Amino acid sequence: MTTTTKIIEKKRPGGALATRPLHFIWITDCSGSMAGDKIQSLNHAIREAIPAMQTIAQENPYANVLIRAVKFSDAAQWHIEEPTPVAEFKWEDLDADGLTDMGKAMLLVAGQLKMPPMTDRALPPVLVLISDGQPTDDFDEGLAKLMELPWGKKAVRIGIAIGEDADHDVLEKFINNPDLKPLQANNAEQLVRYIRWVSTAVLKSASAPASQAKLETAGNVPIPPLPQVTIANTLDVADVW
Amino acid sequence: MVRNWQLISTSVIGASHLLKGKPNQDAIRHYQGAGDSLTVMAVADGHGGEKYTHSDFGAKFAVKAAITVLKETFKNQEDFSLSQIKRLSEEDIPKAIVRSWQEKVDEYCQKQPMLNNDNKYRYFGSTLLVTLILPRCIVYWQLGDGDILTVSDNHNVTRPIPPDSRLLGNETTSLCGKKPWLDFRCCFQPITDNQPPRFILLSSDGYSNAYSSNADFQQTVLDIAEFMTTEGQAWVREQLPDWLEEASKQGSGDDISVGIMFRQ
Repeated sequence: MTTTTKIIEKKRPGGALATRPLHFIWITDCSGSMAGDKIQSLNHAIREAIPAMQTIAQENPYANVLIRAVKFSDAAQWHIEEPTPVAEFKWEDLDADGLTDMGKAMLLVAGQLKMPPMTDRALPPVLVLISDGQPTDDFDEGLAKLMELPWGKKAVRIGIAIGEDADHDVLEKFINNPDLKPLQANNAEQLVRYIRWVSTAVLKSASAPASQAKLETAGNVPIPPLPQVTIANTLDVADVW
Repeated sequence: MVRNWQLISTSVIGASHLLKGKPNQDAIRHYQGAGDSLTVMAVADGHGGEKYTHSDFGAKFAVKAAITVLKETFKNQEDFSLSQIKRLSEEDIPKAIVRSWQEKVDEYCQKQPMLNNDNKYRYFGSTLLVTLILPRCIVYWQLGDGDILTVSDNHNVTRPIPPDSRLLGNETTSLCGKKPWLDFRCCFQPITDNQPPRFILLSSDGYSNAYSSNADFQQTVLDIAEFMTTEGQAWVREQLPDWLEEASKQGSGDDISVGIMFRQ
């Protein structure tokens, strides 16, 4: 084989190849009512789910899963700002104190779902909103900004209610899918199961590049069956939020 | 016989389909009439979602339907004015392709009673890209995701049909939609006054999704067009399956089909 032939065989058209990005964003309530057992349980549940999340991501090497986290209490800020490859993702513990500025969290996420920085070749982002209470700012305005974006509308939106004081109406508005209700976590065990479900089953569904006809109105990612959880009244009352 | 247009069509199974034991759900087919009187390239991408159990057949039916309809419609094309061809292309041909596709699904389902129900078209859901070259015009159709790009003699890359802003993520319009002929988008280009493109590429979305940006993908199309001139079409034909397999393995994971129409 001549040198010239070798060079010709190596010719390939175009630029660098790349897998499709899948942005996964935790949106977490760090208001004062989350202090104590709830925030500790949330930190534990997300940290525990990371290895399973990494396994799911490895099973589908054609999606580049990138994780971030937003926290909201008095205002909202990025807890983990850099989109972090799932293989390198580490959870940093959250603290709880202050109000419930959930609307500002929506605005913060909306800022990152614009194109750019998003691209049209991304997989649908996964947004997981976790809260134990009611917004203290203008949630509707923040949600409207998110939902006016193409990727806001197309995102897989999951809502987890912690304890019985969580505002289900707000979470339902966020989810905006009649087939999917907020997940009610009344104790630490239930929270672990829901966080794990989102981190594995939902992530797996969102990362599979399977096209669907537009007539499937509930969204372009099939939502997997919900996890079975323990009924709260079988537990010690002290463990129930 | 020397032809003005050279055609290459290649389809490779997606790397993720190999992992999951799924078939190639794309289909590609071309037809070239005597003396370049009618040249057609058709690419279809059967939906990968679990509900679309027979989308690989749906894609095959789609490309067959497109070629059958165009051959039949334009067998006496000299009888049509350019404005008649434009109207046919925009209004009648999408309906005829859908009807032909549905007939093929019906025929298949007659032999498969399990599929013969009200949802039968959904099982076969597929996209469709078509380019038709006649002596006086070029017509492009697109239903759903995928890409059609052209390269001019001046190396300008263009999309005759702009991206559909309604589609994002994995969502696509489809032959299994409610009134799918309304979702066909069409571009009619007379070539009486304009020089036709040097190079036309049709590809299923697995190809563009393998690149990090639209600019990178457009560069790919431009490079292939250049290779057709510098290395020759036989070399491109030989290399293309390797390029597509690499793009699937290191990029989208999806099936990739590419049809090339190259003017000598």
